Amino acid sequence: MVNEFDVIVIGAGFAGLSAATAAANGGRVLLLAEGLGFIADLPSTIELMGYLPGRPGYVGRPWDELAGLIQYRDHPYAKIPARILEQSLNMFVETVSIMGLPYEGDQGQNTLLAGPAGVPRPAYLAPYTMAPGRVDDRSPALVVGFDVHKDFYPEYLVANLNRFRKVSGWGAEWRAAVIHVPGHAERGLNSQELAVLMRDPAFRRHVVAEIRELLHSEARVGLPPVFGLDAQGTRQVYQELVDGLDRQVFEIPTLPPSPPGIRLATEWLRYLRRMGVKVSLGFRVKGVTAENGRVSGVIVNTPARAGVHRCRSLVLATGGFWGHGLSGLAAGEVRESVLGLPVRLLAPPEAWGEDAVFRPQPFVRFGVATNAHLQPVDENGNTLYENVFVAGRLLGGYDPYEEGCGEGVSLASGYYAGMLAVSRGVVGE
Amino acid sequence: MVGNALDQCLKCTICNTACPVAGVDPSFPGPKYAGPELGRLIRGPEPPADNVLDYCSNCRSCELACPSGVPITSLIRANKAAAYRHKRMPLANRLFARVDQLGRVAAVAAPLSNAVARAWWAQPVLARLGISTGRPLPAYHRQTFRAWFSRRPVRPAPKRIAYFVGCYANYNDPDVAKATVAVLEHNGYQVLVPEQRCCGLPALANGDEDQARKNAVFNLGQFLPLVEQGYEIVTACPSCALTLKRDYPELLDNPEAAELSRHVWELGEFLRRLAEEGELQSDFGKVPGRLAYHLPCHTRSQGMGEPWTDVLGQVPGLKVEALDAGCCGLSGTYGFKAGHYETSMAVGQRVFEAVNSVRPDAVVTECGTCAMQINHGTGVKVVHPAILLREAYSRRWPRGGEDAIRASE
Repeated sequence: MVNEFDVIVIGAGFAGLSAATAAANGGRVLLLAEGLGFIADLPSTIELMGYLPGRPGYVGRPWDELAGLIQYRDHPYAKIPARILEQSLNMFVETVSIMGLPYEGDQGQNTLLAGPAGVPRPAYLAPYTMAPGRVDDRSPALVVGFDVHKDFYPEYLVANLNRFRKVSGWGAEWRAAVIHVPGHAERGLNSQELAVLMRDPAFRRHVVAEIRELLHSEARVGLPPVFGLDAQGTRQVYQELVDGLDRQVFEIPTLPPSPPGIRLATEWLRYLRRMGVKVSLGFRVKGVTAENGRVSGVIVNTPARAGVHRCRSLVLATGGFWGHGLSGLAAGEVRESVLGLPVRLLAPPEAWGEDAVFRPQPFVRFGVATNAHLQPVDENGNTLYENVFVAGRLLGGYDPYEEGCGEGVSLASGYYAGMLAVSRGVVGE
Repeated sequence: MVGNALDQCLKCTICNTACPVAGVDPSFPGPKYAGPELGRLIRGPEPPADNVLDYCSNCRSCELACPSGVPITSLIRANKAAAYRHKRMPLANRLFARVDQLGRVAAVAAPLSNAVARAWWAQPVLARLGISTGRPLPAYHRQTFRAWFSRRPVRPAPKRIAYFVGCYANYNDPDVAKATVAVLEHNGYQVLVPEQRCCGLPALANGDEDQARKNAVFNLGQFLPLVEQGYEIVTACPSCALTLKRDYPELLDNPEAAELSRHVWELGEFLRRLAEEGELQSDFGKVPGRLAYHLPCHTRSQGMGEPWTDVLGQVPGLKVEALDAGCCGLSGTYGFKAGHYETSMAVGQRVFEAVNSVRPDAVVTECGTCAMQINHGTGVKVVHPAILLREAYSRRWPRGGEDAIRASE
């Protein structure tokens, strides 16, 4: 009953969960995070590499184009061996399949899916509930919204998609429709609340009947992401819609809260607990104990008394500015939150932000400097803690928005960090 | 102390995804609105008159999910208290804010009070009071734990514990309290039960901050002098533990409450620490059984892992499987209120399904109200871990120990 772990992972986003999954087979693992990670806000698709900065259009075959990112020494993909990147994706696909949320891809190619506003987004892997929604597909689709849904506008979405179709010459004509939901008109509902309603068999029958009235010859029906909040419920709703409509059915992601993200986060945490990983969410890590360049324990800000957990290795997957792994952007003094590690700032403060909001923002590339083994280093490249491995958004040198690589970097660096941590720095080549 | 924390909210909505009530009832706009957002509106001269605050069950799941450290539940409770400064508090809230006064009256009248609560003619009265008639009310014992304990001879021992009993163990399930004493005594502690009142959590959850503060001040006055004499405070109720640890410093905002909180231990947490230091009596007899463990929300909120899983893991013969099915839905007094019964049962559905699929000999959980809910929802027997531990010790105890158990029954 000794409170000692082989690996402590801090962070419950894609990187933290990936690290914990990788380490779970090799030792005792504790996952700590201040809260539930931001997965529950995300569409839950996996982007590996969607764009190459400076080149217009989408990347079709990310494995052929990775060299375009790897040429930058600081890019996480330059540090993670290709074999590890591939293993991390395989691990993810296996894990979600065990969880009952299988993902699909297109033999190493990106697929184009509709974003919330109808702008196509390249995804490398997508949950089975989204994969049939390709916009570069020749079959027409009917997009159905709910009149009480605050965050999903089918006409707007379809208008944008059809504009894209005219420009690119890809895809097929999509059509929009809205069905009525009795009650709830006063306040309106979000995707999570609609997913709760979808648990009611009578409501599902109503939805199926309404859509059947609206369907023409479309082979597919797209809906906002409301199929369910866990794996089992989602499978049931999906199957009932497919059977009831006799069409392919898919979800289109929209604003938070995101049921596809909620079910991924919920089931993944449950999977980790079943694998024997101890999970403690809700409390900020306020510091560590360290001796001779090694972290020996983590101090957590729990009520009444700080919790102290001893560890052999630490994976730091606390996120970037949004996840509070980094802070101080507004104050002009950026710091890493747990260990006070040096942050590589790639520009003087007056150039941290770009005035045009949708242009790439320089601060997005800020992050903790690491060596090729993801260990944090000082300005001269000396390793600061030999048993600390950095993963996910806390790493600098990349822009997940400009490069379309957010989940890929987090899964791969998390996996690599987890493997390095559990094997104490040695992962066989 | 809590007020400015609403500025930390990024509006990311993660709290809403973790809320058990929002997870079953789409008419609740969720903790983000009820906490940080209403927290701004309610400071105005005319606070909003909607009833969203009534949906919150005070389980604290939202706070654990928040990635930005916003004390959402505390904000919701502060909003409730602010709202009731402008409008009348419902009768059920006022009753449930005073569970210990209720207990004192009901215990004196037991078992008649239990029969009355179950009588057909009493149901419309309960409904008028705003109390749900969908579930049985907890039964009261004529002899409360504290009455029993006060007649018991002192058992001197070198190490000392001040025991915070809590209303549920005192009035509704005295055997849990007796088992707690037996387990602590077996580990060489002399148990002291000072004069005490309800921890104040039901009052906080029902929007009666003044009542909660009164209880906190009284309990602080009783227990702090003992802390200064070297006592540690132990309670076998996770909600009482959380309240003393977390809410007293927030509510009283003084260094004394902070000092008290550092010496409060949930029983399982205390025993696990003994085990870590090699000081837990390990003369357990075999207790064969397959149990399913339910983790109460208020244990989770203390950030101490699952102490009881660790401690029960030492008992030979006992197989404990985690249910891992989230909130049971009762949340103290919440599920006893009219209009909350269906919500409470819908939240608990996942727990009930998990119990039914595991088919254990019994469910084990350290929370008295979780126990009532799980038993109500599944019909499966639910046992407090202290009772299991007393049983394990009793199967190895020498003669004197056996007497101690008999005396406790």
